[in-house]
Amino acid sequence: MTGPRTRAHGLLAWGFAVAVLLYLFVPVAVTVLFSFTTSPRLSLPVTGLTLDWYEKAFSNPLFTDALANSLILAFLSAVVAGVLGASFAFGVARLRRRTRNILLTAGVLPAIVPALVLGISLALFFQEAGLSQGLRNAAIGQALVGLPFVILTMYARLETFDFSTLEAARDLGASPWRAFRDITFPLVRPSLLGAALLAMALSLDDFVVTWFNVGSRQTLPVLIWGLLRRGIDPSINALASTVLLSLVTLVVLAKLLNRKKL
Amino acid sequence: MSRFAVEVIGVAKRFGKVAALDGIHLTIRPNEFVSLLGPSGCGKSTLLRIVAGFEFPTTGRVLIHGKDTTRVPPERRPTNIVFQRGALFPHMNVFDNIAYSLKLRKWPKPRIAAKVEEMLSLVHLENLGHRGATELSGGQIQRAALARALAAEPSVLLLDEPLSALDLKLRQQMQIELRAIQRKLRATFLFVTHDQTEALVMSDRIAIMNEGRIIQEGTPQEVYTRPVSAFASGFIGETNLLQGIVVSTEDLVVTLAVGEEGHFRAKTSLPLAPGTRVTLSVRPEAIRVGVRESSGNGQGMLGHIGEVVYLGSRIRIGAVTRNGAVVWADLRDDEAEGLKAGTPVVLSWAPSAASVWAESSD
Repeated sequence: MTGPRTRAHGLLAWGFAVAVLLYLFVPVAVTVLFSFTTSPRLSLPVTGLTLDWYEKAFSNPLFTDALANSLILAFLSAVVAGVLGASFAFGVARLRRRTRNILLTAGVLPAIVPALVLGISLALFFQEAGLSQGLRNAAIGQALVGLPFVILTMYARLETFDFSTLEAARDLGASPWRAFRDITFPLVRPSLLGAALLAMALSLDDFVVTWFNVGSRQTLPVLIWGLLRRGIDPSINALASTVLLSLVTLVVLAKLLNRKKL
Repeated sequence: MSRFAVEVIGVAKRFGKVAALDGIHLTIRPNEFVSLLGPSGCGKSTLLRIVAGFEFPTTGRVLIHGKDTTRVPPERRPTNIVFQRGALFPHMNVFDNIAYSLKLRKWPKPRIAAKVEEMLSLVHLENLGHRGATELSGGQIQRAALARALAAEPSVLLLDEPLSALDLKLRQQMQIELRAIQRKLRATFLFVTHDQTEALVMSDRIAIMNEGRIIQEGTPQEVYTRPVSAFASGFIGETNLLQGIVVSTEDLVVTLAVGEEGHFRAKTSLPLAPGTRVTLSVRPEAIRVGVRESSGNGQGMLGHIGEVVYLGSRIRIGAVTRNGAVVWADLRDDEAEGLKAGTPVVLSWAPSAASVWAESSD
């Protein structure tokens, strides 16, 4: 910049930033807002506030069933992606630089495969393998979606991990298992939990891969999509807001856990 | 029971096609402080890790107090190690770090507490037991790591360059303390370092390593005054190296011709036949520098002073010989009086102050 920053310049910059943020957040805000309004239509001004839509949603057996399925899938993919991803990161971290980079890239690559391709490929694969659609197939697909993120998170932690502490533990009389229990696990636990929560969030959020593989079962995103096809009902806003709240919580927790570094 | 605390017998270690160690023989007596000294990549750390049990040798055996431990994993060896950067458990405080091996042995709590207190006072960390491992200074980390290793009551303590991350002053202080602790506990220490001063200050015996082999073993005095090769003399302290040809050998004193500089004598125990090409090594502090009055009388090497460097405790003279080589000599203030660049000088040394070896031996 050459000249002094004028007041007009400053206002313009602020205005622009606010416009971008509005663009980002208004659709979400509208959904959350209308999950609390008395009017059955999306209209302004807001005439009154209510929790009726939440009550309606939570008393709907379709919703509670989908919620239960979503939670089961989220838990499964957190465990599967967490265990597989952490083990992979541990193995890779000990390799020579070249091999390590190749394996790491390969392990993370599925993250950029379009979900549509992933969903269809899995569906075809399961069909060939004779595995009928259902929660099992969806769980496998969702864990696959979360795995690259777990690998990245865990590898980032292990990059600063002092492996000589493990040798020290062995040297002082600990068996390999004991050294893992006393040293490795406590040290990577925050990152592992963070990575698992991230996998959980990705699972709760996933629609495409799930939709191709879950068959006639419902998860929250699949249910919302189904209900939307029959027209907007404010209880959908309540559903979506519920999903949103759980996702934000999971991601914030994951971030906090990963910030705690030793 | 063996006479030796550690016996390394014919150990070789290959990583793929690279030979890290080759034909290593080393014995350490109980209560001895032995240093493995060498440049980085010479295999000294690999040898230490083999004694610790982190690596198994490709061939050869390792005996600890007469027991074959070649393939015994580290947790079942009577050795403990102090790592270069301490490797303290970062999620534990100092007390729990030191107590770790004792908890694994299921000692009763009061006994553990007493032992940890004893170790803390040994390494001068009293009152820091509650301190987190990540809240310590570099020196405190190494003290805690030493206390942790010693608490396990090793029959041999292994130290992998534990002082190299510390600044000079602290390092010198810790060298003295480490030596005092070793004497006090009457313990066996195997210490790895690339710092020759450190090895000289602390060791009973030094093994100089290069390219996977031990090239010389002896007391600090032996390796300093009687290096067996150009590498050994260059690695321990500073030295002047001169090439020459043997003229005659008589009563362990060899006479050799150095270029056109004349004949010099050096003590040797090697059988050197006349005509052998040899390298002569003389330490800077062993060289006498005299002002040359005439063109010389065959006693000593002729040259003129090229440089005078003030080092504080002494003065270093760089003398240029007639064929252009530079010979360095360290003198006291009074010895260097009147010497300045350009002064014609004659350099000489006692035969016993010079070492000589056949040129190919390295």
